Amino acid sequence: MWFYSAPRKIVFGEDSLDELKEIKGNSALLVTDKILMDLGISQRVIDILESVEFKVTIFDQVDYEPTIPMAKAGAEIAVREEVDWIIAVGGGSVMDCAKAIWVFYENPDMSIDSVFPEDPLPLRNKARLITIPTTSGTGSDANWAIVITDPETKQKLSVGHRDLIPDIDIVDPSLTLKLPPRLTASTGLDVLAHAIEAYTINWKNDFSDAMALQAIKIVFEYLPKTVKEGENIEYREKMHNAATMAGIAIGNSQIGGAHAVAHSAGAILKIPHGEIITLALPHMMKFCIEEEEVVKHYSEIAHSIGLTFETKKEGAEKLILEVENLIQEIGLKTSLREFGVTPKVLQENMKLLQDFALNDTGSLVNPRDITKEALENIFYDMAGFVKGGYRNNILKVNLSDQSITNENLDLEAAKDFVGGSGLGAYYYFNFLNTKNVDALSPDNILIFMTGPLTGLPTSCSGRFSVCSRSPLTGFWGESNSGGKFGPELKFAGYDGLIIEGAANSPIYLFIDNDKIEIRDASKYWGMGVFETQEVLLKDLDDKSFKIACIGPGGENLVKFASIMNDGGRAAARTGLGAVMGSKKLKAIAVKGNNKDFLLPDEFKEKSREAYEEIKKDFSVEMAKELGTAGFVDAAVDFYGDMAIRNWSESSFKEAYNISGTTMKETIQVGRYACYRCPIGCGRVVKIPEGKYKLSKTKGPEYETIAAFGTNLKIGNLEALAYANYKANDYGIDTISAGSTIGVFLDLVSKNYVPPEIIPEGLDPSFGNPDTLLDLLEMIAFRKDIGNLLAEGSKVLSENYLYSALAPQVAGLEAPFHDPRAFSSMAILYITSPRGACHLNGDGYLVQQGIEYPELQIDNIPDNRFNIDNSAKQFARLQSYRQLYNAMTICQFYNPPAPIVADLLGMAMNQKYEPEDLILLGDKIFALKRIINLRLGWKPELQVLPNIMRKRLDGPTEGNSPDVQKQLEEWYAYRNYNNESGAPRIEELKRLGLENLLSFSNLED
Amino acid sequence: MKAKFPSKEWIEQFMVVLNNSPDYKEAAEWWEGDFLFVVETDEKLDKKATFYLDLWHGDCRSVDYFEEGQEPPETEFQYIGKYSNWLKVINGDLDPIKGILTRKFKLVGDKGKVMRATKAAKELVNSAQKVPTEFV
Repeated sequence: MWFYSAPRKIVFGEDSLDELKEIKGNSALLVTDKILMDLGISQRVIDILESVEFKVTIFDQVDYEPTIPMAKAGAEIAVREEVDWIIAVGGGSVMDCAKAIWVFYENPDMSIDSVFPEDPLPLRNKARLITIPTTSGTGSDANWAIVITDPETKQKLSVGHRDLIPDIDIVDPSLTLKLPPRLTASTGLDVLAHAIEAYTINWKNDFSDAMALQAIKIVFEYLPKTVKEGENIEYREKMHNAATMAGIAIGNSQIGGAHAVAHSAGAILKIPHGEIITLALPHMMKFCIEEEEVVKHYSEIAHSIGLTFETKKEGAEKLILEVENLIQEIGLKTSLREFGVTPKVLQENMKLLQDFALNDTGSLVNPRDITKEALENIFYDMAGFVKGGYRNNILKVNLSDQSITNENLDLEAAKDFVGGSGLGAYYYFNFLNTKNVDALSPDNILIFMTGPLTGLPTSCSGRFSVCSRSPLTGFWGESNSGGKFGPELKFAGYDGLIIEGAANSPIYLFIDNDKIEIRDASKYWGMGVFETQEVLLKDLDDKSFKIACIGPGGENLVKFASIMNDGGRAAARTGLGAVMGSKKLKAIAVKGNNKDFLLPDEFKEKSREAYEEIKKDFSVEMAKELGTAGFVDAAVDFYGDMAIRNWSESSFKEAYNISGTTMKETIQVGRYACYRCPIGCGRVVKIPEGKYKLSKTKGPEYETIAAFGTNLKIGNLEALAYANYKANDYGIDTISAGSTIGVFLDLVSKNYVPPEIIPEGLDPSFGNPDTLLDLLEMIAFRKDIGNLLAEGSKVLSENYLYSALAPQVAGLEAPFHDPRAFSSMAILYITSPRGACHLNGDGYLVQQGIEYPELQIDNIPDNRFNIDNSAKQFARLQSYRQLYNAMTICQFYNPPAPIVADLLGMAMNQKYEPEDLILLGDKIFALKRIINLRLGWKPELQVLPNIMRKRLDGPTEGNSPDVQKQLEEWYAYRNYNNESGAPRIEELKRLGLENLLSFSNLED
Repeated sequence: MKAKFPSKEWIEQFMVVLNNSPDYKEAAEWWEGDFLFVVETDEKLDKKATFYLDLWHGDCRSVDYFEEGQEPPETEFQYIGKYSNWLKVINGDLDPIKGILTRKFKLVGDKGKVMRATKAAKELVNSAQKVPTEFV
């Protein structure tokens, strides 16, 4: 046996307030709130009652959250005035308060939590109840529920009894005409939540279903219209009726889990009910859809509102999507973080939130059992943050139309591509599906991405990636940098920043947490990197901002321009500074305050464990003590790893004078560390006087000492430090710059450059620091021969018909680890996604003995000149480093792989084993390969130029790697087609990337 | 005649070979600093042994040998590893820098100075290989 209950009389339509003239009695308590009094809405009721000689006593103390003491205060007035009618005029809070007043008036000694459906509730001995809703949402006017807060426990109590159903419900739409759009929207969503839950929870019945379905249909049809045209009485009437019908529906069925969650979060986080139920509903629906019965019910609803679908599951999913679309359309907030809820607040209140929700009636009858764990996930989802290191937020700035938007991080994609250059590739891949444009086109996009570990309280988490199409190579471009900019972007609330379009005049991007502005940068255009950062910080009057900017190199579209951040830290490779320059984007200043992350306690312990491990690593000790340049002596004398005179010689005695050890003994005055880095490989140098005088600045690193030093045969450390400073200030990549200059000097030495081309006064010979400094300036400002050099070594060498002289792969100049010294660098350079690259696999270190046994990279031949049958291990190393560039974490930080798996797992709210790390790297590698194929890359580009293969005496002992053999092994292991270069279909299936199959013209 | 490794005879023969090596002389012409080469026990060696070498501008000026329980002098550098790893170095199967990177050896002292001396280190190993050796 079951019951169907509804108000004895429902009066609806315009002028329905006139019903009040028909009631019998003398004294009425009008329960309302101050706003309705001020708006004159309650006065309309008072005027009618007084016109029929009623004594009206007003209780207008109800606010948005009715409480037990509030209701007791109203009841005292009712007792004093001996009222025979209680008339509620208002929204849900007023209705609930009025019902509670009624209970206390008739039963002064009763506690509200003893109101129970099965127990007697003496009412109507003193008064009766009229409800007059002024919003279209609550449904409380037509049902038997009371939601009221107990301030002592902070809990929202939800109680009910059939006798609490009002005697008369006056549903007059004219009372809602002045409701503002936002309130109209949020209360309207509450109607939908009532109806959907009433239709799906365990107590549903045919009677409630009828009311619920009709209410749902009305909401989908009329709510958007009502939000847009609030003065339209027809729309208002429809929504007002729907609210009452949904109220009847829940009165005869029940509310469910969405309401349990909303009651809990609303009370604890102080968010109005309409707003919080908007957040809760879609997430609870997604939770409930796992139940077969719910799928059936959702699909019935979907059918009733005209959605078409093949299966019930599809219909159910479409309904959820339709609810989300409706929320978007009516402009309501979609996450708790938009209400200022931080991860810390959520974490601190989680237990309370769970307890309140579990104790709510809605949880008891929900169609899927609600657990604490489920609630935790739902609250995090509602918050818009995810557990771990993501912010679930991508900032998009379009410089052409100046639009600024936020979108949720694609969390499903993040499970495959992690972050950093992995997710950057994913976003660029999506962009490529819409446009395939030149790197410097205004239509190209530039992506700044953090990774899940960026900014987390663990060692070496200071890195970020910049991604786009490279103007230097024309293929996939990525570069990463340390410092503090990346973590700051995360602290400001963003996983990434995507720059679209281009500005007409110089601008910079101002990001202060959620305050984003595109500001004029005319003042800074033309300034060097260091002056830009200094003046901009001064203008911002806040040194806590972190700045990434370009120098003249980027402004003048030098194809290997860098993006510089936090002083002298550089995202230098592949010329993305030129992309920034093409957009007239001089700088990005970012400041963020939120360092809270939802991490398990174990994260801290695991980080400590990792730190203890890396302390034992000799290469870390070396980097700490001598910087990266500490390797110079061994590289030149012991291994022959460092290119000398454009890769063509094997000995450079002056290397001794430019090593990290010499730096420490001479010009070094300090160390520099990126965010949370215990290593501090950065050197701070100072040259107090002389030709190369420098105030404190970042010292040259290994690659720069190689590019400008051994490569150009310059053995003067002060000159190199000064050239490093100038290159950084110009904002150009020292590796590409040094290499290109080396090629130019080599071409001159071989008489390939006509003398008239050589600028007057320039000494075009190796070993002269002035030549280096002059050419750096010419490149940065594209002056004289610098205009050609600014195109990079490939274009330069081709211009003089001697392309074999350029040490590049696929257009990117090689870093200074010689494949003749460590043969693995050959396969790693030629297959790297961005051209010759030292961050795509540090085979030179593995071949020195740094192995990764948990990743099966531990069986490398002792002979460093021959890696036959080892391609598998280097491909795995390559994938591991792809993951590093995605996490994003410094490659000097190498705790054992199981610890990395644990840390990454916690940062991504996943569980990983070491082998998963390789799988993730494989996915990222495959995606970048497909992007490159789309951009025109061909397997023919997988060659080492002759200049890097010529056999040399000295430490490399006349060796040159067998590239072809390495390549064959590599393709076999990767399961890529060696003719097309593409991953084979079965490989993409293994990686779970079947969605890429249809994108490319892949051939198996 | 073969010298047992580790022993005083072995290090004395090593000194002779080293001082006759022009390659070492050239590579270490700038080097100033004394070393302890510490051979730690493992399943094949039951007592720790320590070699002392006074290396100065391409010459080995003196050597000494200390058995477990004896107190060697304080030196600028120490290169410490297990007996089996010393064997690998002497036989040319493990280069001394790789030995440090792979944590098979521990280096105590100014790492920068040692990293500069990689060429000299290589010549030390070459000389060691020329000592007629009998391993325990």
